[in-house]
Amino acid sequence: MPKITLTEVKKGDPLKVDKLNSSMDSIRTAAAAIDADNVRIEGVDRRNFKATSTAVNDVASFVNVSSGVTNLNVQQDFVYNSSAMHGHTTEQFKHHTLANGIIGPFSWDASDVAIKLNLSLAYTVPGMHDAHATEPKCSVRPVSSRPYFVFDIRRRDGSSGSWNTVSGTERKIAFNHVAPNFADRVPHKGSLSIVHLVDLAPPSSGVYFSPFVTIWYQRLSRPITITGYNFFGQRIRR
Amino acid sequence: MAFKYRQAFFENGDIIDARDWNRNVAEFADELNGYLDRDNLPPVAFTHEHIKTKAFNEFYSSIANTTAEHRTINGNITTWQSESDAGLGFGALTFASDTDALAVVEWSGSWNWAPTHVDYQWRGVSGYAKNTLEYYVKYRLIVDGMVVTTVPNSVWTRAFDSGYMCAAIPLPAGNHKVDIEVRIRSKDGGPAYQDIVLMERELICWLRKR
Repeated sequence: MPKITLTEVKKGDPLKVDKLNSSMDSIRTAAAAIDADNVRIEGVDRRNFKATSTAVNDVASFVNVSSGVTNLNVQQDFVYNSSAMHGHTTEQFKHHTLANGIIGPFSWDASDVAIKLNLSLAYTVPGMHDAHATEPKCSVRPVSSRPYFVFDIRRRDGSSGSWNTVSGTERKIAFNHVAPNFADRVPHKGSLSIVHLVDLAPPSSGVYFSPFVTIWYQRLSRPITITGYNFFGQRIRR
Repeated sequence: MAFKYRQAFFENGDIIDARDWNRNVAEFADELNGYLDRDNLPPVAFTHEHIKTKAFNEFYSSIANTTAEHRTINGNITTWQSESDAGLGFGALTFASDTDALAVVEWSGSWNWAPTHVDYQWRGVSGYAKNTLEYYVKYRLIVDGMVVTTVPNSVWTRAFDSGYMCAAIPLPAGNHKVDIEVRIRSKDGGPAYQDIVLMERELICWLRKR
C-alpha cells in the first residue's frame, strides 16, 4: 500500500518550504498509486461494481428471445424420433417455437474463472419387445430392440457452422425391461442432468452451446419425449 | 468516507498553530492510509478488470472423458467403494483454500452394468437367476470425509443410466478433498454379482468466497 508519511510542523519551528513540500510530495505519490490496501476492509459494496463484473448468466435461447425468464421449456414436450431403422439419428433440442435450444454467444478471456453449463430434463422412452427373433432384446448393437439414447452438449463456434460434441458430456440411457410383443411394451421414464465446466483455453468469443440426443438402434417406434428441460450457462469472471 | 471536515479554518491575518496545520493534513492522509470506502468511490466505478482473478470464486474440476478413465466397480463387494476393482480412483478433487468459503459441489456421470453375456446380462430363459435377482447401484458425495448427499438406487434394469448430485457446505480455509463413493447391492443387501462400469463423468467444486 502506498502510505502517506507526513512531515509534521512543530510549534516554534521555522516553516520552511521543503517541509511542506515533503508532506505534499508524499500525498501526491500515494494518490497516484492507490491500491486495495488503501481501501477499508469490507469497505466496498455492490453499488461500486458495474453489472456483470463477477458473473454473466445465459439461459435457454436467451440470445434469441426478449426475455430469458419466461422461455424455459418446463411446460412443453418435445418428441424426437429416429428415421433410421437399426441405425441412429441425432436430434438437436428444440425450444418452443424457435428452431433450437441454444445458449450464447459466450465470450471469455484468460482471466475468467469458469463457464459452467447445467442441463436438466425428464424423458419418456418406449420399452423393448420380444417379437422379432432377429432382434436380441438386451444388446447394444444394430439389430437390437432396446431403446438406447445418448445425450450430450455440443458446441458451435460462430453463429453458423457445425456442432461438435463437448467431450465428457455424454450421458447414456438404456433399459432391460422386455415385453412379449410390440403392443405390450411399457414406457420408461426418468430424469437426467449434466453439469460441465467449459475448457477456457484458448480465450474465445461467439461460442454457443446446445443439447442433443442421439437415438440408437431399434427397429420400430423410436421416439423419445422430453417432458421439460432447463439449460443454462454461467460465466464466472472473478 | 469521502466527506472530511477540515479541522481548522484559517482566516487572513491568523497566526497558524502548527498543530492545526498538522491536524488538517492528517485528516486527509489518514483517509488514504487504508480507510477509503464505498463513499470515496463512485457508483459502478469498478468492472471485472479491477478485480483480481479468483477473488470471489474458484473452481476445481475432474472430468473423465476417455475410455481409459472408465472404472469397473466390483459387484461382489457390498460396501461403499472409493476406487475401482483395479485400485483406481474415481477422480477425487484435492485443493487448498486460502480462505473460508461456501463449497458448491456437483457431480454428474453415466454408467452401465458390465455385460457378462453376449446378449448382456438379461437372458430370456425362464428361471434364470439373474432375471429375478434385483440389484442396485447407489452413489454418494463425500466432502472431507462427510457424506453430503446421495442419489437414489438405480436398478440393474436400467442398463445404462446416469445420475446427478449437488450439495453446498461451508468450508474453512485449508486442505480439502471431494470425492464420490459407489455401492452395489442386491435387494436383500447381498452381492449383486454384477459389475458397474462408470463411464463419462464430471466432478465440480465451486468455492464461493464472497
